Amino acid sequence: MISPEKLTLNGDEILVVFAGKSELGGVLESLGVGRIEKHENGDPYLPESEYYISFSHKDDIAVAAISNSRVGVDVENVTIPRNVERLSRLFHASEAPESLYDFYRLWTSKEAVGKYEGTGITTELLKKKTTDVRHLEYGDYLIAVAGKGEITMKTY
Amino acid sequence: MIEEKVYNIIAEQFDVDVATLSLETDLVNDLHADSLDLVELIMAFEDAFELSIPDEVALSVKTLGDAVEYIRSAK
Repeated sequence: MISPEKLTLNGDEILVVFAGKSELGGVLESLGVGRIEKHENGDPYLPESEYYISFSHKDDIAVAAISNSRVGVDVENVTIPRNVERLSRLFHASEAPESLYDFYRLWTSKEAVGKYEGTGITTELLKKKTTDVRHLEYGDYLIAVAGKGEITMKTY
Repeated sequence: MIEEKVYNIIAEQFDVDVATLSLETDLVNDLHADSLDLVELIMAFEDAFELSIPDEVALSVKTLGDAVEYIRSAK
């Protein structure tokens, strides 16, 4: 594993860390984020740091987003088949996805916004048009980030 | 009948052998379902049994037995 430098985020900046599920903890430790704890609603926070953090995992990979302000992240494997026609009922008709990839873009957006807002996925959120979410891709994985600032992704 | 249909839906969605399933099978701990898997599963139950499953019930379904019990009571 590459040893990362200690984390310094200037102003509006979001660092997205993509790593093996069993390696992410070590990467975050070497970045110096300190202890990771959970609020009652399950949202993670950093009691020893001023930064905000959000996590997501899929298969054997994990993603963390760290920022100076609230942030939400989600990751999905876009090759896993889903019943898109059935799942499209979850969303407002104007947003309904027509392809598997569209579905994953939309679902990860909702998950990321749910984490950003601290509400998790709600029926209201699913039916509301989602804006201000950015996506990154790495191999088969699609990552959605809700938050302010320039995004940098580091993979380990 | 309900039990068999539930097992078949689960087996198809999670790509597992029906013979490995029981009423005690836990969706998250045994089948490693994530939030999206659970949403898709609840919608598959709704379509198969012509039901509308409220969110609070959907969240309370942990095992196959919970699903069978709810569907039986709602039919």
